[in-house]
Amino acid sequence: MNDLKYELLGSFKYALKGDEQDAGWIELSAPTTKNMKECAAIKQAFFQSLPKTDAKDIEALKELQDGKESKTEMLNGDEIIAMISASSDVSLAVVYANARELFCSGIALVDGEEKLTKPLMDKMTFEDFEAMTGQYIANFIIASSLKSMNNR
Amino acid sequence: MEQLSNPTVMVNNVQVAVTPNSVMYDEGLGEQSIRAASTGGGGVEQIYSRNVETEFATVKFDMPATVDNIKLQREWKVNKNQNLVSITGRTAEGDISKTFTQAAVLNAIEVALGVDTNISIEFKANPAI
Repeated sequence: MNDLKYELLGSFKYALKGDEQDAGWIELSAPTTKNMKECAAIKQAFFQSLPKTDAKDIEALKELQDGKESKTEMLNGDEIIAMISASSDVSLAVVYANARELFCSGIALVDGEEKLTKPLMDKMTFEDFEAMTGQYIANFIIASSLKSMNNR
Repeated sequence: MEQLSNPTVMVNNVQVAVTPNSVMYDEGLGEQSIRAASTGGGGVEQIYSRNVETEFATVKFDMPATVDNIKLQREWKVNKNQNLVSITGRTAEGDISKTFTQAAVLNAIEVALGVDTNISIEFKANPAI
């Protein structure tokens, strides 16, 4: 999987090679089995937030995809966050807590250089954190599920 | 009035667990001198000068000899002068934030492994921002 580049809406200062820099973007790489606990929790939360029908989870995702104008138009990060937020079966706070642990595990680099740490995440705007979480879920955590739906 | 006694120390974007009451810093404003110059007729004028050789900051703290801290101190030493140290603290009256760029650990670091031993760290850096 290719790395994802997320452009920050609000910058924050971080230490790089002995100086303070303004962060511009975050490089996100694919999770590994080291992150399986967080990924599993987020993936499960996503599928539990899908609109409930008689179909199984994958079919429910397909029905959601069929609602899109084009078969190649996959769910984006904002839609995923909106869906999880609207679900009464899933705790958005738990999803965010898992996302925070995931981002601080080494898969996120500030400006492609410095590891994103918890103190740096504390400086990030919530808007950026939310958008970044949605894009990461769409591009990495449920990407394989979305692609298999697209190919049916 | 409340004394600031519980600062947060961050080095290279990582918060460091320090030994309480061990953090201290020097702003790096250096030493200055005043001399007298005679203007004649009994007059004296003050000549103020900065000794820029002394204008570097110092940050000192102790930290427990945990596995993480032992790894960190070695990393800071190996980084030469490419470390950034920040100290922040807050009381009911307000908050303080000091940043020290281009910080280096110049002395040899002794890692004492014992029941209540500490690792003493001293950074030399650019004057505080």
